[in-house]
Amino acid sequence: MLMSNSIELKNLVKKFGDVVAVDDVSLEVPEGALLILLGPSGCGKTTILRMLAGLEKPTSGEISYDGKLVANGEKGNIVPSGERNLGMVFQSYALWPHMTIEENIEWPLKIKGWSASERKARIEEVLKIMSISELSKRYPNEISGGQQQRAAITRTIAAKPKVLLFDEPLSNLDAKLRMEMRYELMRIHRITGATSVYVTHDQVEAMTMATHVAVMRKGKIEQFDSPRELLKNPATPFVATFLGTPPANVLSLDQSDGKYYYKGIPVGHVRDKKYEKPLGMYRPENLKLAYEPGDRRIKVELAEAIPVAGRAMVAVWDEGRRIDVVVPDLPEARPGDSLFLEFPTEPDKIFEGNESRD
Amino acid sequence: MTGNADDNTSAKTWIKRRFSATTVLEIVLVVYLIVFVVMPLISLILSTFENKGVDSWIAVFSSNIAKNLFWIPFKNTLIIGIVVSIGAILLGGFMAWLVVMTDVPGRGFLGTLASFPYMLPGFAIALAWASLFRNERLGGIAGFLTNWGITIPDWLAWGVIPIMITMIFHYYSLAYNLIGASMASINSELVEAAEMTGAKRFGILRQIILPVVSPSITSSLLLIFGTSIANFASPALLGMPVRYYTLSTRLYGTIRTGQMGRGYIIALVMIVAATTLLLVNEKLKKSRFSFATLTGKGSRQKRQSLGKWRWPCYCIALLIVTVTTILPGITLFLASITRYTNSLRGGLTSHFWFGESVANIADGIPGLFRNPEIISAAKNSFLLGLIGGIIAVMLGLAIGYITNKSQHRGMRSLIAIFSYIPMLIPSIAFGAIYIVQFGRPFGPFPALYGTFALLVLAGVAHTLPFASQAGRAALSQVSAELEEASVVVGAGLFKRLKDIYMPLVSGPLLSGAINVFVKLARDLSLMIMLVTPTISLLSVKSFQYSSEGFAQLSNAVTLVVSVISVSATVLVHYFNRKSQPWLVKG
Repeated sequence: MLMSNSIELKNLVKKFGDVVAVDDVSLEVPEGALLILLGPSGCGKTTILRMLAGLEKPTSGEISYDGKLVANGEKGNIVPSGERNLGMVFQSYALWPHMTIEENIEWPLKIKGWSASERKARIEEVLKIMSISELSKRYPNEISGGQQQRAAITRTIAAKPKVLLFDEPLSNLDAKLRMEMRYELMRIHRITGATSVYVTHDQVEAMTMATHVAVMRKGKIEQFDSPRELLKNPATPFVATFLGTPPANVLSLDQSDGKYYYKGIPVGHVRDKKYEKPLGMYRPENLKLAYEPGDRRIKVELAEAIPVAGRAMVAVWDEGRRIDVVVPDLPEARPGDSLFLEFPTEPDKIFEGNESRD
Repeated sequence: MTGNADDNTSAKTWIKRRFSATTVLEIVLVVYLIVFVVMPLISLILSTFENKGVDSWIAVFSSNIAKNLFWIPFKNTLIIGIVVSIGAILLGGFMAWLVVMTDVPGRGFLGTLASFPYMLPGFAIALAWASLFRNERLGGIAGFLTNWGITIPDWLAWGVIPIMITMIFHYYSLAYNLIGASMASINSELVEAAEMTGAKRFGILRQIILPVVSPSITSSLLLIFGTSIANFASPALLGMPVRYYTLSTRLYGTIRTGQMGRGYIIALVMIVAATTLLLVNEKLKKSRFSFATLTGKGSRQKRQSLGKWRWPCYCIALLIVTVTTILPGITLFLASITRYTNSLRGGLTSHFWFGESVANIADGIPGLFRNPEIISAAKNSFLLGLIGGIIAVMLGLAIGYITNKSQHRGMRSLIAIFSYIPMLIPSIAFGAIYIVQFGRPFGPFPALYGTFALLVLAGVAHTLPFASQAGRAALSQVSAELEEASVVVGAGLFKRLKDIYMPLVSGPLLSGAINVFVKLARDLSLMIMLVTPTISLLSVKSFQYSSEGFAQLSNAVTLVVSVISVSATVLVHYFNRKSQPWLVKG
């Protein structure tokens, strides 16, 4: 066990009845990291967060903070939630409706035994940090959703926790506020230096904010890496198709005479490793669009085209399968028109497995 | 922290695992419900076969007295139920539409008065009717109109017509509240969309509003039918004196004359009827497609313009609230201060409120505020409401907690079902049940007949469905995340209860308690079976004075009960707003 690791999960399992929500998860993050648990709904990410918070007991496995065991399958929560020195921001914000914003911030400090003068000074300080000083006397139902979010974060950081937990904190905000708050949250992380664990199903949040990302699916970790590494070197087809804007395309390939084929056109050479059922990964930027048929081209139908920073993000239909392409210019075509998709000579990566979408 | 703290903790955790606080609470509740709800129902059924086996059943259903004993009252009850429920829905639905959906003038005033009659005790309007319309058929005491020389025909003074009218006046207020609430939740965009098609205002009412609120209309109809067939006050005051019986007055009569077996069979019939109605309602609720649009953002209600119908509609509404609320109120008050019963000829007097005993007035019964019997009854009514309210709401909170949070599915649904049973039992039958069960020694209980404890036990059990509703509503104020947010900051159970749960729960809980208080303090039909001359209540006193011919006293007592009921209800509204400023948008 490395003492420098702030959070460590070892073979963590959580079952609800017969349902295995978290299935043998192990990971370590260093102090000050921003770990994002990323995955579709029902992948077990929130369950892990709730075990970290001490709101659920592990069925088996261990959770340690700073090398100190806080929960395991045998004894449940060894260190109770309130003594783990953590703060949590809930999806619904969970501001106590009968307390003003100021009282919401103060109450946890009272619980922790801060003196009145310490509390007053700290409340002023954090209100200023989050620039919501003018809301301090209001009740939660009197302020907007974005302001509630700020108030909830203010409450959470007031007691200077060493660990911050976030449960999909941006999911109730509109697109513009979400972008603003992303930046705010990273600022909070920087100022507090608290090791943070953040749950989301939005890969953009993971790519922009995290130092470490655990991509989860069906209770298991598919890949645990930095955002950069996840994009550069996805370990599974699921990761490849879940991350990136737009994500990579993973297509089922045929093979014969040392070559891979997609719909009869050659799209790569079989190299050192043999695959039973090869899946080819093609990054959107390595595919091309043309108006005429030609070598390594298949006929597709334009689905939509979005201009992005001088380039175009284009989606096409290949008989019901969506393929994402990034091209230099918006195509001169309307959705529904025919275009030709050109494959590169080699795929970006080959996986073993079945094509699936989830 | 003693030396063997370790042993202590492991023993504690063992106990904790086997018998968590929740499990203990579940067991306590199930035992309570079995003893005070299930067992009484079972012994009621069993006691119909006591002594002479099926004799009572034959007597009620197929003997030569069956027609008068059961079938005619049964028919009367059905007719009253049908007419009253339809009448109340028409009147209440019309008022709800006017007040909630249209721009009729004086909406606040009309709305307040329309919700009044249901706050009043059920016998208030019936008593007011009697004070106005009684004729001299029974000799002696006539009403104001007869005393003014207006001839009142029997059909207007007694029996089915006055019973129906007074009950419609009472229940229309309930229909107004239920249908009004459902109309208030209609998304105003629905109405606007209809207006843009060019539909006329009554077309919109008929083709948009009525279909959308039809689920609430149907369930109000069934609810009013169910409660009106168990109504005791109106048929007792306006029917019994002329031998016009319904099932509830028959039940009362048979029990009072010692024909227990027959009475309990009639009670069973009423229970079966109520159960059937509730099942039908549940079935309808499930089969009907739900109107998801109802939950839309309908807060900023755009009102339908009545145009030239504005003032005519206002006049009709004013007439309705005048005859259902203002007129009965004035009549009750006037009838309590006349020197001669129901007549202004002898002038007015405050004797029946404040006077000392005078031998030749009302058999020497002193005025309300100097009458030890009434004062003792008032104390009992107050205590019954207070103690019953507190206990019922505490039980309701526990039931709400278990049915929301317990992990044991079996226990949970058992408690939910048991606590719902009193809803199926008409209050007059519930009183009858409690005499069977607790009138004689039972298990650890001595015979409780004639004790205050019996009133409280019956009152609490009968208001249980209502109290557990209040408990659930109170608990819904505290979402899981609100509690978890306080767990995470390290607040222990005590701190959480004190700073998070109590402030959020106490408001709704207190209004629940006051509502139960009102129900019990004004109740007649449940308590009339249980009181004895030594332990009386205001409502029962009023009923007794009325049947003994002391109209002024009866009216005065009724007014007092009405004032208590209305002011407590108003207090709830006021309190709900004041105590929870965080619920009122700034």
